[in-house]
Amino acid sequence: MVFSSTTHSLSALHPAKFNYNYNNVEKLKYSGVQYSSGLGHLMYDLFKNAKDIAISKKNLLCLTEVKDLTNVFDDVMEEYDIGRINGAFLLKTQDGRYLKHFNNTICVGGAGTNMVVSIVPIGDNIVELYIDDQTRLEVDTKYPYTVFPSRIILSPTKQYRQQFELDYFDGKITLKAKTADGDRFLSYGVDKTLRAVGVMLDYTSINPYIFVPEFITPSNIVVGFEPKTTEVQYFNELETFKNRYNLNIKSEKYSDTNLLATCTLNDVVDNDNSNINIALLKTNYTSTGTYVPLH
Amino acid sequence: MNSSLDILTVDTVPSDFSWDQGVDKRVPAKVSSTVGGLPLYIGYAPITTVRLSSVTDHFEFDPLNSIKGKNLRIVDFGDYYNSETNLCKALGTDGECFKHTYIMPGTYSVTIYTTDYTIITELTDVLDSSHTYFQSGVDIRENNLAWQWDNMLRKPKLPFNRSVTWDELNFQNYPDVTWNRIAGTSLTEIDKSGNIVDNTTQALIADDITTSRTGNFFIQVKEITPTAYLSATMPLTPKEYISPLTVRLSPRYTQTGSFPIEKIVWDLGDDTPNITQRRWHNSEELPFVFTGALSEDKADPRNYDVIYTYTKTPETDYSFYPSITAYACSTGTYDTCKITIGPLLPEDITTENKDLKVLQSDLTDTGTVLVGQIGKDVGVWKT
Repeated sequence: MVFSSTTHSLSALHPAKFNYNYNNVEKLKYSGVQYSSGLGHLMYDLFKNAKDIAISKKNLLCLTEVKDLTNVFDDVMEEYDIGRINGAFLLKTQDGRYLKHFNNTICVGGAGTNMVVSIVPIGDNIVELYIDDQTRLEVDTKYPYTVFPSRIILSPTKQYRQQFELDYFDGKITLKAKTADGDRFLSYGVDKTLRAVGVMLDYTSINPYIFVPEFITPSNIVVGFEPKTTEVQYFNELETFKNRYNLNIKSEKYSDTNLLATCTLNDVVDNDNSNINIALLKTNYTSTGTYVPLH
Repeated sequence: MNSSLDILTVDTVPSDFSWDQGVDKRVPAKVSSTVGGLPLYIGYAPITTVRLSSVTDHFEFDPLNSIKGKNLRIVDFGDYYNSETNLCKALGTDGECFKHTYIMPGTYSVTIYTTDYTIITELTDVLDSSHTYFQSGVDIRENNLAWQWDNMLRKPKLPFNRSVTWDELNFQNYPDVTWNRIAGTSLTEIDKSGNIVDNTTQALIADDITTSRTGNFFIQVKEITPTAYLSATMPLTPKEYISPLTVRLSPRYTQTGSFPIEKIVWDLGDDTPNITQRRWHNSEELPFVFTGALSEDKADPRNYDVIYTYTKTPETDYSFYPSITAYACSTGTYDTCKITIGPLLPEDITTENKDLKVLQSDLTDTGTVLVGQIGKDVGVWKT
């Protein structure tokens, strides 16, 4: 019998990478280690303390220990603040005076109704500010860079005048505009008219440019999914006809199970990231098909 | 009738000024070029102080007809940033000196407005509660509210004289509030019903003529930009750069320019999201560590170091390049710098120490998959 053998150094072994792909690409939690011998290793939390792993019929199968899914997936909840999402708010100064629209001028305090500002993100924290469905705030080309309402759609080379860099954190907001003199923050001087003339030093606010938004819409959204294996018990109230279709959650108890992770070998070899499937096993089932009593 | 407007001095901070140094030293601004044949004085933010002199022709009045004259000069320094002192006023025809400090970068021109008032009598002699005295010549519905508002500040020593706020005055609601034309640094305010709100010794004005003249010079204020600097506390010898390596990164030696540092954005150089330390909201959460390096300015973002652990993994290079971007207050001018961490030596543990066992392998059309065990961890590799 003739056979050939190929020798691979440890550094020639590439750690396989896995993703769970259901609604989106849900990233698995892992960390990497590089040993001095040249071997690299990606330690997936999914595989930690695995009960068994095997290759069978071109498939990779791994039986895990009883695991909480929150330990398997990476941080899957992502928060998007205003500036990256649309939203609307009233804008006021730190001493509580609202921005108002009066006679084609944006003023701080005084007569007029409080100005509702709608944020339309067009880039990473670059936004357009609408005060009604067709009117945007625009910065004058010339000093003192007065901010005024505009219904004109500018050419692409001039659109920067209707775009602002928004920085929102912890209930405070700054808006920065591009001007001929460089970046300037929106603020107001002694005439209380909104212009790109903000001046704040260390502890001195000459023309304060930090505003406080009073949100009409949510200030942020959290997207992602919440991985968990829970035993949920429902009940519906049959006493009244009105509620007969309403199901209410009676209780929700965490019930971790063993997991079976599988993927094809071809997928592992051919792709940088392999799609892995994770199945919950009936760890907590009794032989009669009911859940084991929880403690 | 005209007023002259001449530069006495233009002082500024040196071109190597740093906000951290304070403002002890001033130097004369240079006249380095001209704009349209007029001299351009170049100073540096945050302090460029201009002193001007002005002389006005004497006003002639007619004492026989009880007509007196007053002269008011208003110097508009064209500064909407430091707007509290943008307007300087002088009553009378004596030689006057005006002074203003520019804070923000930009190019400015100065204009002097000279108004000659012909006054028929003093207001206190003729005030009648049935009269309402309007300011003429200015439509308050227009946008030029700025300098009217400035005029509404009254002398603090007189009975009714206090600084009224915009909201108190509510003077956008035409014509709820009316006032007499000014003939000095104060004014008489009479409400809609004709009641005297503020009975100061003002004058009724028969006529006025205003002329303006723009100074024959320009002021340019430049910004001194910040200089970012990042230092790292690491082991002394590269042999000790063993993964995982914990380092302390410090931005404390970042140099301020014209303005203080407002925020520092950190890129830790390992594909983790950027983190930000803001002046107006200091983050105390790890990996930030307060050092108090700038004890006089505790909100300064440079007071916060970052302690971070870098790990060499199969997915990373051997070196990491963390960087910071330091932004100045008011202008957002920034500077960026980076530093090298590494090269890191892989973890000094051999696979023999970790009990590596290859459990199974399988050939596919394009490669081999191996599964194995390192200690209690399962690994999957491919060739």
